Amino acid sequence: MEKHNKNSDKENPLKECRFQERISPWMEGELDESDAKILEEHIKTCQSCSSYLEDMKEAVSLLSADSAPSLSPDFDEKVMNRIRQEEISKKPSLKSLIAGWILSLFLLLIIYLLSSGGGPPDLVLKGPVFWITYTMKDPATLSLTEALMRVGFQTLIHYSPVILLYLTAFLILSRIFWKKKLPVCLEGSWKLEDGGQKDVGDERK
Amino acid sequence: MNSTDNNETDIIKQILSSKKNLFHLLVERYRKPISSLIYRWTGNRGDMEDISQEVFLRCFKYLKSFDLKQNFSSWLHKIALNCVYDHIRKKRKESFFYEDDSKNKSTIDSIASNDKNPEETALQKEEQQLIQKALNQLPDHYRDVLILRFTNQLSYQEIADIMEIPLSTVKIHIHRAKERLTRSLTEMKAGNPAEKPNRGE
Repeated sequence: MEKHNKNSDKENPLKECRFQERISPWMEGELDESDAKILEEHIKTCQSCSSYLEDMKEAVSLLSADSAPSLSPDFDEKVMNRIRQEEISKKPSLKSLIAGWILSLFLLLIIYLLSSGGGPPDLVLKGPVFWITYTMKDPATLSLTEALMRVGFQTLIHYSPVILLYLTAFLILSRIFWKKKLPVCLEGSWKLEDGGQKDVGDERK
Repeated sequence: MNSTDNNETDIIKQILSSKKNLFHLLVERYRKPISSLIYRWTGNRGDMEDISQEVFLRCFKYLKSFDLKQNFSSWLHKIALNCVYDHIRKKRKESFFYEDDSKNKSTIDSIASNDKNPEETALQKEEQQLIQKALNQLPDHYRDVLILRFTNQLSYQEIADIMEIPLSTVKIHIHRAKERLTRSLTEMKAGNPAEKPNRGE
């Protein structure tokens, strides 16, 4: 208590008694026994400190009062719905992309085999190599760029249904795999199915 | 640093494994303290609702990075304060067009729902408006410690963890903040409110 800085009274004109800066630590139980006794005795005789103590108690009491309004009844649901939206907007994982890719390839292979009556798929064999070898009647007359453009264009035209089919299958299958990875809470109701866990949700005091 | 209690740790582990539906248990448990903190900071019901949602969204998003040795409550309160700061920063940027209603509306809506006689309710409203106004005049870090300590009833250690400052600094902040709040409140009651918010410290 003796170490108190007397200049602090000058710094704060509202501070009428030098003991006042010890009131808060005293309220928080931080003063040692002897200092606490000195302060308690002082407060009994000092009107300024007594009044200050009451004001501080009131301020703390008002601050501690539960003045916040309740959150909306569907707050939890809103939070879980927003989580669901965030999860859905996430990009598919690499695993689901690979799974979608493999499955779509497999699917295409089956379609080809079925369409070619169980034989080797013509479409695959008659690909770009076929064109380069047989359809260009006079490749010597074409420049390299023209030749590449021609091959690229013809390949695109030839394979466009396949490419479209492949992309569609890939996207659908990736999506299916990705959705399967969604947490249970996001597939349907967010609410807890196991009532036995509810005791852990008690309001924190 | 207090670690998260076992029950809470189990819930978090389960959420992280696959049972993400259990996240609502954390929301149930913490929505009250988190919304109280936000309301004390903003003094606005709409902001409280929006920021509270944002807090839990961030919590869900970053739960993977949460260290189970840490105290979950402190971690969540830290997220809440960050969300409040982001919100305040955004509001301050927009302040040219946006009138901050935290100083005007503050606690009017909340106390109206209490089952008390009208006089008592009116008095409570007035007192809460005063304390909110006094609180708004404090520097941000003083406001933080007061709200965490007295509104959220957190320990010094928890506050130190949340604010990432030494325990001794928390104590000093609390005492100085209490002094300033008391004086500010007394001045207001005496009809001499110090209107200028002090953010210089």
